[in-house]
Amino acid sequence: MRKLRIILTWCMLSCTLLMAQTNIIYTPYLQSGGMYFSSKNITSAGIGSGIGLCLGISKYILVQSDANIYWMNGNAGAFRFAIGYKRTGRWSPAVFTNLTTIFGARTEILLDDGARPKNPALALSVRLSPLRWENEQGFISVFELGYGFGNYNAKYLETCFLSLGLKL
Amino acid sequence: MKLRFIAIVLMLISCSKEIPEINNHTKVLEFAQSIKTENLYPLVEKIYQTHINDIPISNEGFPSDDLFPSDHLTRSAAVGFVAKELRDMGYQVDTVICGNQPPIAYNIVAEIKGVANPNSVILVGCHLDAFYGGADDNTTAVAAMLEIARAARAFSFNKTIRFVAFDLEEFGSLGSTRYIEEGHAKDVSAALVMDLIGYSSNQAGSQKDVMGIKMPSVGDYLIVVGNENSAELTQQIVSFSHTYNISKPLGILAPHDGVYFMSSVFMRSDHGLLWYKGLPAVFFSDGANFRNPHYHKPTDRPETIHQDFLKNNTKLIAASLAILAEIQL
Repeated sequence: MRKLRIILTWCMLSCTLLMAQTNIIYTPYLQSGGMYFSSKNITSAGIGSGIGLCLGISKYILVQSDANIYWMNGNAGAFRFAIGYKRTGRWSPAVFTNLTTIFGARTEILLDDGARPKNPALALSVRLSPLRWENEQGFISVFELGYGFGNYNAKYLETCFLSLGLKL
Repeated sequence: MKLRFIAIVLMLISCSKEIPEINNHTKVLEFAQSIKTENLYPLVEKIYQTHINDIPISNEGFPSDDLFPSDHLTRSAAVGFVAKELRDMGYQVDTVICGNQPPIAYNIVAEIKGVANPNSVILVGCHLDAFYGGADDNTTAVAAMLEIARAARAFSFNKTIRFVAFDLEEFGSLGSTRYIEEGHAKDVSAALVMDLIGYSSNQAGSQKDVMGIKMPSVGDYLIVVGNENSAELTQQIVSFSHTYNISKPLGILAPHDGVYFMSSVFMRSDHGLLWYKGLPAVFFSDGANFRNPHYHKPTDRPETIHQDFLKNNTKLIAASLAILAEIQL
């Protein structure tokens, strides 16, 4: 219940921030990376790539949303919605809080009565992007790392090897 | 349009499938209870001795510093033992010889014809070859199969049951691979395969995680693994055991057909090729080298077997067979 309250508060805050802005900078981006969702009932993992849209809603605040596909334990997909804070300037490291839904192929451990765990899996995480650079054309970021938790007592690890965006 | 989108999202969020109903609970339970548990451990000891007294498969052709997989692997005497036991129960026993060059596999096969649907065959399999005495790997499963075969003689089933003791599993599942590839399993509609079902421990940390898949750390449960093709059956087995408190299963579902990097570890036995061919198969194991410290060692001896664990697991596998082969009233 406490986790749900945190997630809802976080979603409301993101939406409020978005709606309050008029001069939004749109930056579509591609990324490659990996994720590992490990709980007592669900294991979802893989290496893959994704496509997303980054909204620069102020000098410091970013909102990102991306769709990713991962391979290693079947074809798993993940939708990530993130809100971040970045440094201004060419070197612009950032920190994001992410809400990720993970669906598709996964290894399941059945519940005691034989029922399957619910789909999709949810994870709330923090991602650090220390090696991120930005200019008028776009941004590049390498070796982002994220860690968080998810349903069924999951720990969630994510990494982004390379993220490349071009401003519209 | 909006409504359709909302409906799809709601379907995705609530995508937790119902467990299919099991017909004839009472008869399934009666079959499981008909397993004479006092038969199991003496069988384990006998088969263990059979392996110990047998002559290992020749290591010819393997370098002296790498004798695997033929280092003290025995099977010949076990082939004879299993065939005799089944014959003594009244079965007509066939030795299906697979392969035309060494090592040739001798698979032992016996059947009970189905009453209503004899062309639908349920395969119950385990391997009979073993490193050293192989008390857990795989004498426990052979003993369980023989006891289930004995109990099954007193019941009728809608589908045909085929008991197969596969040879040379330790040689890269050679016996079952050849059996399937040579077309002997064309009529098989589903399978139950056992490999090590007798080792448990109450110690925390006794069960290791499997290829990044988090497992309960106390290794006191039977691992029951299916893939998407056998998901419903796996759920039924776990649910049935939960309802009637038969054994302590841990149901695992590998993604799709299971042939992925992380889940391929669950294909490490005679059901592997069946999964690959898209046939529904459920695999029973105590976790092998992820739990049993005696795995593939001379110390895999009968006294390391947990007898109650083996008894309960055999009952659950018998119940699984009764569900799958549709036991008659």
